[in-house]
Amino acid sequence: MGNANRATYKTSIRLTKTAMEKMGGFGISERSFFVADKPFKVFIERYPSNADGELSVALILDKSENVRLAGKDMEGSIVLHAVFTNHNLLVTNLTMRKSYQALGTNWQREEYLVFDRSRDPAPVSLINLINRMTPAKESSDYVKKRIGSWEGYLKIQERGMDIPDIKTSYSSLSFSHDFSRITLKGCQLKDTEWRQLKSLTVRLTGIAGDVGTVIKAANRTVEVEIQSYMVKQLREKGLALDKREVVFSNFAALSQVRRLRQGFANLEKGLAVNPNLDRILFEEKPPVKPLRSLEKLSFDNRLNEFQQKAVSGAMAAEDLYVIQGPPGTGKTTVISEICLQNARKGLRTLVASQSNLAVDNALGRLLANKDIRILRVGRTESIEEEGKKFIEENVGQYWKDHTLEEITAQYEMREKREPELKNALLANEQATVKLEPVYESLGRAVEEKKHAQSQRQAVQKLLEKEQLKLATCELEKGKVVTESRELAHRLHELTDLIDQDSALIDGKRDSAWFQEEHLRIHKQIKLYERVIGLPRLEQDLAVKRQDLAVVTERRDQIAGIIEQKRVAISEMDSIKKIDGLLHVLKEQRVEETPTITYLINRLEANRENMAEWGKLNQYNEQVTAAISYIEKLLAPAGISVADLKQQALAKTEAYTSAEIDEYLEKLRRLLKSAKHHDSIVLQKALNGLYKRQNDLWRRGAKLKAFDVYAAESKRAFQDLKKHLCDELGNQQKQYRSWDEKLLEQQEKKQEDMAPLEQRHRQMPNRAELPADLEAAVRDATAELARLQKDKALYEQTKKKIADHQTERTQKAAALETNDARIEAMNANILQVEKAVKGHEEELLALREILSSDVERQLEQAAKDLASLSFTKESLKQEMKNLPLLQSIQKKWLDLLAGANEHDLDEIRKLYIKHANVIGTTCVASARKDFIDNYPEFDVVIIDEVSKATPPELLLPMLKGQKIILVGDHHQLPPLLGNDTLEETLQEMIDEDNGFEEKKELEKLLEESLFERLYKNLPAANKTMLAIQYRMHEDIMETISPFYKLERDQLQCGIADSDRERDHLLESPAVKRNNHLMWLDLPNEPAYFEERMSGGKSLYNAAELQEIRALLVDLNEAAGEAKQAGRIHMDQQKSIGVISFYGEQVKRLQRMIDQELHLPHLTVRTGTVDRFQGSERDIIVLSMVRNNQNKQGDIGFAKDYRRLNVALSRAKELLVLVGSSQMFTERAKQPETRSMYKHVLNVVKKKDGLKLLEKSRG
Amino acid sequence: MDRLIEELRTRVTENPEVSIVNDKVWRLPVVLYDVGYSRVKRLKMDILMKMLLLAFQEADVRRAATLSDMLFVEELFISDLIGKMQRTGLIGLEKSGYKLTAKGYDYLAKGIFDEEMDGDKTVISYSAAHDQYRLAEDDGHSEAGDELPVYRYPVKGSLNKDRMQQLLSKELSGGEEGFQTIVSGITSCVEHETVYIPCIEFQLYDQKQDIFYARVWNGMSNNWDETLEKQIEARELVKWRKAMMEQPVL
Repeated sequence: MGNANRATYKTSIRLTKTAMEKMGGFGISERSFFVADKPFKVFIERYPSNADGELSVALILDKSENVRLAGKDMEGSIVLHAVFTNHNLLVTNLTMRKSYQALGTNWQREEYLVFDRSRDPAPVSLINLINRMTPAKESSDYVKKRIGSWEGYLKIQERGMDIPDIKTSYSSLSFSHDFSRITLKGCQLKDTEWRQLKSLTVRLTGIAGDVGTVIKAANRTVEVEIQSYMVKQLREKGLALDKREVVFSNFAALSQVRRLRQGFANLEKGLAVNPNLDRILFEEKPPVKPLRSLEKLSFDNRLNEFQQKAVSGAMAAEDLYVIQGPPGTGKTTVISEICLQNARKGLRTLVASQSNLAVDNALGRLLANKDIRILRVGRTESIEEEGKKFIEENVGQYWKDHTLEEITAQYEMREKREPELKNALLANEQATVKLEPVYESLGRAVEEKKHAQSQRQAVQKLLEKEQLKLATCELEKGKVVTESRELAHRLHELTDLIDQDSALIDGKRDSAWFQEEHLRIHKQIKLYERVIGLPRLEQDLAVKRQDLAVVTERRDQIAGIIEQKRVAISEMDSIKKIDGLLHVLKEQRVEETPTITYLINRLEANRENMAEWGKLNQYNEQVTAAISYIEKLLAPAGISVADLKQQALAKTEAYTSAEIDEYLEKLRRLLKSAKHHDSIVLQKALNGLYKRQNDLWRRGAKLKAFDVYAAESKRAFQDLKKHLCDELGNQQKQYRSWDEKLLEQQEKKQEDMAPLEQRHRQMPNRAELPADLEAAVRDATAELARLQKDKALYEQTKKKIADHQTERTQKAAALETNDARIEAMNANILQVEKAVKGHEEELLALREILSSDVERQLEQAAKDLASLSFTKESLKQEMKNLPLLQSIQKKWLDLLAGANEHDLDEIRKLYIKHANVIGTTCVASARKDFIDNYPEFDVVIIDEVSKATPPELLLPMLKGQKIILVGDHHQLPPLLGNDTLEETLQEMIDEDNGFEEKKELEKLLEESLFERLYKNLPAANKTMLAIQYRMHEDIMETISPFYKLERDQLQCGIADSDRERDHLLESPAVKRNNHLMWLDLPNEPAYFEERMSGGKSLYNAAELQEIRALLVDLNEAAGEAKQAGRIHMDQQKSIGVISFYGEQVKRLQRMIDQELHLPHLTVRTGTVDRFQGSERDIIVLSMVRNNQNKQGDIGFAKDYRRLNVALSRAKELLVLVGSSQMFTERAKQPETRSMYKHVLNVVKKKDGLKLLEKSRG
Repeated sequence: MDRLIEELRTRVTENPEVSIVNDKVWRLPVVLYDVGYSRVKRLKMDILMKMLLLAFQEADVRRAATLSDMLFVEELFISDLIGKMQRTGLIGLEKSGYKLTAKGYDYLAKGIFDEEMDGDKTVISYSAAHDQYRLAEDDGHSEAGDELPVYRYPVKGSLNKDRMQQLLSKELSGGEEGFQTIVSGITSCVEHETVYIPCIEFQLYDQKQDIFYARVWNGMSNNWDETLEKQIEARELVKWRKAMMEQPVL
């Protein structure tokens, strides 16, 4: 990825003292960080945050930056350890990272940074970027924790790993009969070493490469299984070994385990191509991305619906797709198609599998297609025949063979093509010649039709115009005719009306008469009305007269009053007393003006003052008299009157008149009493008197003299008189003005009355008038109204007649005009009608031409011609190219045919360079040379996944962006070495009773990675291929229950099983229609299983004998079928004889090799586990277990997956050999029994159960 | 010969469980042919490049795809080679398509035209039992005397010159300095004689495993001969067992 697609972050950095010192140590100048001509390539790795919660990070500078920083090339990469403090990037330390430590892992981010010295905070985008990262350690820990559960697999393989190479001499070396084994004797080994030998690889001095592996080491004898590819070399050199020396080594196994461990480490370090791989492998719900939507794929292979779904799904998946492929369901076809689709998209695919055989099987069945370039990578000697053609040195040859075949086919096809071409061209020409005149005449016809069409259009237009004209004319005419009719009618009406009206007003009256009559009646009415008004007039007159009298009387009253006033004034001088004045005031109703009121009040006040003065004077006299009396009385007592007086006057007191009266009275009584000589009483009385006298004097001092009051009263009296006179004068004046007003009224009333009196005098004589005047007035008024009406009618009629006459004149004229117009129109219509008819005739004539379909015919003809011409052109082109192509291809064929190794060298290089399907084993995909050549793949397909352990699967998985897993968890789990996991485990337990991890390891057996992924993935990311094409449907029925829990049930894709899976054999034991059989052995001691003395594996001799007979029988049947021509003479029936137990297989193989001659059969033997992935026409299964032990143990045979594999290898015929009682009744687990019962039931149903007579043997 | 037999006897019975049931010496017929062949010297040149040069000479080709269809060769390969030839100046792109340059013509001529070389002669042996042609080596193998019986399962083979030439091409072609020498044809082929190769056969029995098997020493290849062993085992193994069963127990 170039730096162009990435943003460059610019950030300031600060360095701590430590960091700067370290820098110095590495010879890096600080300046070099800031000389930013271009950004630094940096791998950012997040660290767990420090104790302060600060974001902590390592900036690993790419090695290419070393020269820039240190001025020299250095080993390793410079790492800046930094924290973000207050948004500033602070470099706290600086270290070197060893160059072998990977950069660009999934836990790191590759970015470009520019550093500066500013104090600006680091960009938020950079902080966010780091914040979003998961600390590398967390990611690693996550993987470490989860991958720990896979450790068990490695532990099993690592058992006793750390063995140094053991070198020893031997005394003798012998080969087994088939060169499959070597027996070494006389080895000089220590006891401990003997125990370690098993599974070690063996090298013999003098022979290059590993010879094989130790399978048995005991009694100073070592048994070695020879690698098949070593056999030839050993046959040749086995005798000529100078030095008898052997080396046992653990290297191969060790390096294998080391690779597996490296896989773990790489996942931990985040070195998977798909950054999500760890989560996909370990999360409960694998976090796969949703599928891309793809255009519909076109498939090269013929695929059924499930296969299509699998291929489409695998192509659309982003990261993981899982395909479950039960036996015979065409997994390889699907893989082939996926490879091809990938190749078409320019993607490179890795096809990996656990074993070389499986890889070679998968590659061998891939379609030969020029888009796919298959390369088999691996150790040549371990690659099977199927895969050999794809190894580097053979791909040139493979390519040549394939190309040659293809070109030959094309070339030969083209040879036959030439005469075909010629014929085709000739036929083409003839057809053209025939078609051309047809085309031309059609062309003319079309022209004619076109002309007719335009003609029709013109005529149609004219016709329409004329028709429109006609319609208009007729409409107009209709209108005019209606109009005339209406006019005539109206004329008639008018004449009638005039006649009527004339009759109505004829002769008698005229306007003048009406006027006279009107005046007369009007006058009469006026007269009557006047007479009717008389009583009222008289009444009015009386009222007026009365009013006048009232006014006159009033005036007389006023004149009296004025006189009265004048008299009052004149009498004023004579009045001497106030009462007199008050009387006048009251009498004359003089208003009390403020002046009058004042004057009266003054008079009153004066009077009161004078009365007061008098009273005070009186009291004073009495008191004074009393004082003088008492003074006299006291005088004898010698009391100083002056002191008393002074004493009494010291205090002023007020006394009312009544109190003084009372006091005096009291005093009088006192003086008359006995006490009148008591001086104290007298003194006291005198004191009271003084006080009262003083008071009186004080009060008198406030008053004026009496005569002053009198003079004042006199003056006020005069003023009042004068004032009264003035008032009375005013009153007089007022009354006079009122009188004037009344006079005025009087005169006016007299005036008003005059006309009334006049009218009254003029009234006619009543006798001359009708009695009832009111009625007379009514009659006259009615008469007048009638007259008015008659007059109006007269006027109206006269006007109507005049109007009608005018109208009559007009209409008569109009009628005349209309009649003329109608005449003209009739002529016009006649003319237009003629024209319309003419056009219609023309159109009728054209219709025939127009109704023909010449255009379509012409079009068809043109199409045919074009197609002919096109065909001709392409034929001609082909014809032209043919010799060229033929010549070029001929040359090519010759060149290819004559090509030698060297000629193909360049092709080989190209092929390897462009190889897009690489096949290798899981473990080999982790070899260093492979990783160097193929660091990553777009797609990794792993076949037979369920047979590989998770650590093995991990290796190819690490390399793929997308991973496609193909397998079947209902078939057997991985093998370890030669043994099943169970066997290995059993062995480990036997060897070491304290094997504690047994439970943990057993758990591994339960959980299959494939199964877990398959179950937990969303439906879009997985498919089960549910149609099988291998087995006869009878055979398939035995395994259906194993898949009944899947979404789709297993179906048989073979249309007619009996025909397509006919084994063609007919024998006493096997009939043509037998496809599923069980040779049932009794559960009796004679047929029991046996154990090798000292061995662990089981065998069953009785079954061996049965199988011997069966094979002989089948061989004869095959021979017979050949004789009968059912089977080709060269053909052999392929038979697999398989068993759950290795010992039984060994014995079967020996029996077949040694005791049987089976020329018509190709027999292969093997354990069920080894046979997984293979198929045969006929399978014989030796079940071995048969006993009457209490445990009812059937060992390996209880695993349904093993049974599934065993049952599903046969295409045409499956024969089970064993005791049905043992498996269906004695087996310990009920589910095991029911599993075998199902098989037995199907066998019975298909009529395939053969019971063995107990007497045999 | 006897010494060889003894040594072999020791070998096969190295395993104490194995005993020799029977041994035989017989002769295997091998036909020798005197073969004359022609040789040419030719510039080393890979065929696809040669084909492209030829095609550009003959046809107007502008696009790699066209040739890809014609030759049924992956377009990538052709594009690769076209690029290479353009870089080395063998071809140039003209209006009508790629055309050879003078250098290209020259180069092609060298690739096409063979320089005749002197023919040569050799002897080829054919073992019908193995259906195998080999270059007969002059020395090394001993001839079997007439007194020995002939191999009891003779196969009739027929002469196949193509396979002979394949053998010669494989064995005798060589090259130097950008040139290769190729056996271009067989000029003569005369059946010269039939020689008889002595073979030593052991019929063996492994008591422990209850197994019969054969070992045949081929006197020409000086090897245990698997082909012959299998031929014998296939026909006789059951017989040997039967014979042993019928033997009175000693």
